[in-house]
Amino acid sequence: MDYLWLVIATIITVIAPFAVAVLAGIDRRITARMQNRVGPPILQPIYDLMKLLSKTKMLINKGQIILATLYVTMSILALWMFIAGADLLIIFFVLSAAAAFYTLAAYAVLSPFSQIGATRELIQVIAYEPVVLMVFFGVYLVNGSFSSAATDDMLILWLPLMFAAMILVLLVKLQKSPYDVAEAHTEIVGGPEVEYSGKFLGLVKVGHWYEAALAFAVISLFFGSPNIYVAFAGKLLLVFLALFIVILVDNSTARLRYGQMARVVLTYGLALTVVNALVVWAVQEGVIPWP
Amino acid sequence: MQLIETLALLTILLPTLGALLAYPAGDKARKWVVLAFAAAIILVGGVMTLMFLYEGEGAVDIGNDSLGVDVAAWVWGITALDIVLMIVLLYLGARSRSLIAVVAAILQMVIVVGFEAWHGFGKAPELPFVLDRLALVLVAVCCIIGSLIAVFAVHYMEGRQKKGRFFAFVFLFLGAMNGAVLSNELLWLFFFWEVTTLCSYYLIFHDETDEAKASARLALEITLWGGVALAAGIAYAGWKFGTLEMDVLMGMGSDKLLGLGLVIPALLVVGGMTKAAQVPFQSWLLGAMVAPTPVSALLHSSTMVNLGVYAIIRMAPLLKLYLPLSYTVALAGGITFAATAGLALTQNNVKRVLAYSTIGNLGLVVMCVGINTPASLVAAVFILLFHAVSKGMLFLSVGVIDHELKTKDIEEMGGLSEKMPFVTMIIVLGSVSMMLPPFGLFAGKWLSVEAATQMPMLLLLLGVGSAATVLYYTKWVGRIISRTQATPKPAGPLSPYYKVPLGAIAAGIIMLSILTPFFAHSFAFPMLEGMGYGSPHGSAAADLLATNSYIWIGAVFLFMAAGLALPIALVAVKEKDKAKVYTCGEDMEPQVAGHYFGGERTEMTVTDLAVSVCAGLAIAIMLLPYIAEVF
Repeated sequence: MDYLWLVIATIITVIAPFAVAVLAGIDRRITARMQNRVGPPILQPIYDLMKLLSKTKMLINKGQIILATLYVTMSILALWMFIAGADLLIIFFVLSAAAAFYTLAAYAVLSPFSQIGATRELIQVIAYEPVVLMVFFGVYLVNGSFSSAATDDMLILWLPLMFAAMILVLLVKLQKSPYDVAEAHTEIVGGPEVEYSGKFLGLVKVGHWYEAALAFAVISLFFGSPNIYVAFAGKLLLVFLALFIVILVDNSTARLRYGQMARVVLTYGLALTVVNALVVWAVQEGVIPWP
Repeated sequence: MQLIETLALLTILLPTLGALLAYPAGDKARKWVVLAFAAAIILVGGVMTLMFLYEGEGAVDIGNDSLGVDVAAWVWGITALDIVLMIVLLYLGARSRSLIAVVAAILQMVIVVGFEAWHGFGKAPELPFVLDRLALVLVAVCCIIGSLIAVFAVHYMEGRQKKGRFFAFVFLFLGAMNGAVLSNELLWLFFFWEVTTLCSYYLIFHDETDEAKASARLALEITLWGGVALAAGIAYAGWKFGTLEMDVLMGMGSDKLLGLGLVIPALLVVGGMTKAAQVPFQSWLLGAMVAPTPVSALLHSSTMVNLGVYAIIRMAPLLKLYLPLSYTVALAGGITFAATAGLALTQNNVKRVLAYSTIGNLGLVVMCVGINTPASLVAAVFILLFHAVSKGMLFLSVGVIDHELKTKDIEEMGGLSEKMPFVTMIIVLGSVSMMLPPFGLFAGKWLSVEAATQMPMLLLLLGVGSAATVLYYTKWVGRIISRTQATPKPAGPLSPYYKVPLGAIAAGIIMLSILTPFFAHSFAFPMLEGMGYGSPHGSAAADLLATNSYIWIGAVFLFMAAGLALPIALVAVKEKDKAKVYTCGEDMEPQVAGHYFGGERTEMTVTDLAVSVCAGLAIAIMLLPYIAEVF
């Protein structure tokens, strides 16, 4: 274990939410352009967060806040582990924990919208978790290990369908249409988030940014190169590509019902990963000849 | 005779003595008998475990000279009791008017008596009992958790009928469980195995309502047929290989066993599947929910179902001889896990949710045994141990709710955190330890996912199953912690009979989880080597678990503690900070209800599907030895 790397990982983890905030700002700008608006400044999400954090605290009960904090710490931990090069499977379980605490925080308040949102959030979990697990398995098939440490392999060439499946997961994780069923602002007024305000809403937002950071980090895993500059540029490009696809889909589709969401992710998402895994396996075993 | 051998034998004899004393005692005396024997059994089990760990031996052989009295007395005693037991089981089958049970009981008798007549009655075994690491895990769980459940039951059963019979069978159950796990002589294993069948029958039967009688009858039918499979496997081993001892059988080598010899592990695995309530034999465990809740706790955590998976884990080295057989077992386990996780989503009776969860987790154990790599077997033992502890605690908490609030319906548990804060905390801990890191069960799941890369199809089942597991536990916990702004109004102080066992198990869960790497490194790994497997090193998960640097799991503990401590310390809540929930401006108390994914209809469809697939797999398990013989 390289302790210096742990320190670097910690520093990256601290600045990661700002990077995601910038991405969110870009997202809002592009979305605005797609809708023929000018849109806010790129740093608007950070201004929003500062404003939220400066507000007086308001809460329903303390249990809600404890569970929300657990959600945030688990999200931070998942990202830190990823950058520090932990086993992808532990990260998978830590992510599970984050999702569980997030929904528990929503269940902790006896509010109709929060409770409906929590149940929908859980249905999202059951939809995307198997897909994430299969994507991690794809990484294992190519790299020969579950380590999240980046390798020089171009995973995207081996796992193009898994990348597509990750886009589905990204849509769910970033609460984008057509899969924004849990938050669904126009329908259930924000679902699990409805009962936070001020400081604590800011806290939960930070948690979301960490989750998004991890999703983008997994995306970046798909690009690798022995040259560190090429690798960095390629990873960044891939993240922007994924973001752009997500924005495009977000702006051109309407929200699905939660059942439809689960069905699409569980069937098409899983099918993509399974087919991809089978092909990789077949190539590796020499069933399909490969130059 | 060494002390540890005496202690091992005491784990069988002490509960049996407790049973004999608890039966005739009056109400007051019985309370003291239960408390004294529970304490003594915990002490014996605990000291034995510590001594074993301290001495660090591979296995303690308890030979004939250690039995205290002449071995012939043991042999004739057990043979006579076995015959009496089978007659009793036959009578029970006839009394409950079950042709299926009667046929099974007669078949057992024919097989066992016929075999003994051929083999010669009263032959002394070379090595009657062995205490190895695998047996130690089960005996320790049985002694400690089992006794705590007995203590819990003292208060729970107050005011109920036939308590003498109840506690007698509880203690007998513990003794029989320990006996079965320690037995090296297979006929003795069979005897203790059938005693647990008898105990479970009477404990399920206890309330003597029509429903209880029907459930007891179902349990008897299924487990008796499991007993037939076990008896047939044992008789076949004796007839074909001339040995009735587990260690000889294990050491025989592949050239002899490959082919028809595989009938032995196949039959024992199917027998184990009935005890462990694996799909397609799961119905009896669900029916057993009518029994008083301590019985459920006992069946699900420390005794009955563990015995089933114990037999399957024991057979792992033999299954490994023929991988198609082993992988069929793995597939049955994986399907059981995924299907029951889905079934648990449809339930609003919390005891049924927990029952499905038990079946699923044991399915995971069976799956790990079937994958049959060193790392997957470590996973099997991890899941077995941590599931037993957590599930015992969860069932006891449900018992408290059932006893105090008279409900098992999740829908009626809203606001439990206001009425019973202690029990709520216990349930939250129990559920979190069943699904999330850093608790021990997570380590088992982690290893099992890694092992499943051998059979990617299992990975899909695991992914869906574990996501569904998170869903149904979170749904339940979410319901009990949901509360309004109102200040808590506790339902009154809890009886110490409730608080002490729950608190003790909760402390045990946290301690065991912190000791996970130690348990992996100095217990589970040597256990595998004792079973004839290589070291699990090379599996990333196993290596990480065993390293003393302990960095990842330590980080999870740290972050979780921080997430708990920071808001508790920093967020002071004054009345003016409290807001009302958003109800679109309506002034009302919101009413919420859970989502049950189609309820009974889905349950029936999924059950039918899983039962047909797994029944096919169970038949395949029994047929595969013939295929191995022919090809």
